[in-house]
Amino acid sequence: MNQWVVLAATLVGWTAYFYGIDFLIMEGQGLPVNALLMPQ
Amino acid sequence: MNPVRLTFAVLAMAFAVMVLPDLVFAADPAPQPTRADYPAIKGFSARTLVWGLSQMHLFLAAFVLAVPLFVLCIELAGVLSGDDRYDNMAHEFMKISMAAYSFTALAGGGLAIALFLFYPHLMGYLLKVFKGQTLIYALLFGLESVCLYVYYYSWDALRYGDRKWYHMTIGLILNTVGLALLFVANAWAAFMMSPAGVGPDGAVTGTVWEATRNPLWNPLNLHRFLANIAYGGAIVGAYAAYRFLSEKSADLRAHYDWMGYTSNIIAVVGFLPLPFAGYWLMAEIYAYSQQMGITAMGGVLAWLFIIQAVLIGSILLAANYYLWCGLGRTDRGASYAPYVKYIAVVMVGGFLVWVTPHSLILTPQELQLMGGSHHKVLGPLGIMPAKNTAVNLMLVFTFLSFQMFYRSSRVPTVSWYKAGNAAIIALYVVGCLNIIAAGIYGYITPTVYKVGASVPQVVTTLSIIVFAAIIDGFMLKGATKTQVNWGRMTVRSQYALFVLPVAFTWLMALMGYIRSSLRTHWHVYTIMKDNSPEAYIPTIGEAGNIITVITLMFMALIVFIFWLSQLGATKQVPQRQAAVQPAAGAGS
Repeated sequence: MNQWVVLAATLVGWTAYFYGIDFLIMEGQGLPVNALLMPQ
Repeated sequence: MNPVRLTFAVLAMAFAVMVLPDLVFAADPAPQPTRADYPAIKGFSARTLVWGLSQMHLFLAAFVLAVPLFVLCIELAGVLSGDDRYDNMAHEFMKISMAAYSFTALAGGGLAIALFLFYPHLMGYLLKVFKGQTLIYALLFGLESVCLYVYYYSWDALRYGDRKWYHMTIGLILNTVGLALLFVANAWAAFMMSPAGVGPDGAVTGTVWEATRNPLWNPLNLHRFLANIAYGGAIVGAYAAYRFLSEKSADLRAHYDWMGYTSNIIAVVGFLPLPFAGYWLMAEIYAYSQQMGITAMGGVLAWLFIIQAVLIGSILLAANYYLWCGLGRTDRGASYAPYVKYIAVVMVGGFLVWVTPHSLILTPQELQLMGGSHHKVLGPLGIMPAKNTAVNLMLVFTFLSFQMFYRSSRVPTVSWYKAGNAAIIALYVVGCLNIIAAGIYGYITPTVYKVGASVPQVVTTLSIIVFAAIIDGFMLKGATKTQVNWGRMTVRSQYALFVLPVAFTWLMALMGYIRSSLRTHWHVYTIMKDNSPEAYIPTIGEAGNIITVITLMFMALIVFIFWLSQLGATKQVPQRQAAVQPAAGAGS
């Protein structure tokens, strides 16, 4: 398999993985990631 | 009654008496001694003595408990690989720790005497809370001694075949007992910080188990367990470096180079998850008492965390430098050398971010010049999101240094190795970006999010390490191994191995002082006040001096232990033979 194709595919795959764990961990701590975040 | 049953019943009752406090002891409150109640010797600092002895005992105990843990793993590696070198190295590691064992007991005995002499009320109270557990501790200590001596002295007698498995079983028992000792001692230290199983006045209301299982017990157990592994690895690494530098024979230099490399790996493996364990411990401290957490991270002790950053940064730089020098052992290593400078940039950059304080101690003129107590550019680097980002990136790149050395002696033979490399590169790129993004996220969110965002950073770091190791493992399966020229190392690289134990020892002394000082003016936090004349938090300078003196004393002891280990292997040449040798030499 072409290494550049693998590079592109894994970039997408790892991004999905890391975003997924970020989301799950933050939500799991009761910290919704899409809430209004900036301190008022 | 059957004598066996009778004995069993008596033992069961004795055990019940030991572990169930309410059967024997009335629920008296904790003693509250006045200043006059503390025994004193004029001109003698009881606290400094107890401080020094407890720290020395902890250094030695950490070392002698850790060595058998990785020795057993190395012994198993020797059995599985059939390579005798592993077995010889494991045996030699044990030899070093044996010389340290009696010093551990001496320091422990000295500490116990000093504690009972100068702090009798505290010790009486702790005995009242933990009762029979202290006897169990003594029993475990005796068992540890027996197992240790049997394990060491039976090494050659139980070396091959089934006997080797008997030997490893003894090692397993030794480590089980050793860990039990560690956990029991941790329970006492953790109880003093976060007492449980007692009422607000200190009266014993629960069982020994409740007092043992106090809120900080398990975080402390994990933190000390990992730290002990890293510390043990660092000390035997220094021994290997010492032998490497003093040996003339190429074979022995190769052996000690390999030993130093293995020790460094043990230290790094123990060290990589340590910041996360420390983070958990601190989070639990905050959860138990916000006041205690603020004392540590935002109060008088906060500046010591800057020194901690310097020491941990030194450890990471030294460990990486050693790994980079190791690329010289293989012919293919040179092809990885160009990447070292990029790793160095990350390591030094991370180090600088980590040591940047949030608020500075300034003169009025300096404050005026800077326009406030926080620097406009560097100030933001002083808060936790920046430091968490820095330390996670440093850990990721330390693993990369190790990965480069590992690959330098292996040529992959699988057809998909280019695709595998691409997947690993993508993993590092996306993972590092995620760590940085989570750090930035911490700047634009309230404090609770700052703290929360550090967890994905940790998981990202661990993910990179685990996935990179898995992909590498598959990719290098059946790889062509190239020659590793053990012994082809620079002298400078060995000094990096000396940096590790010195920095670790200093760090442990520093952090031990911080942990203990968190109790401020309490022997047992919020339950038993420390009314002794020395119940004050020393200045940073005074604490630094004491910590440094303790570190120097321990390093002197370690040099003595190394010398003892070498002395044991030295044989005097008989006089007649010694006289013949020069004559024979002259004739040739």
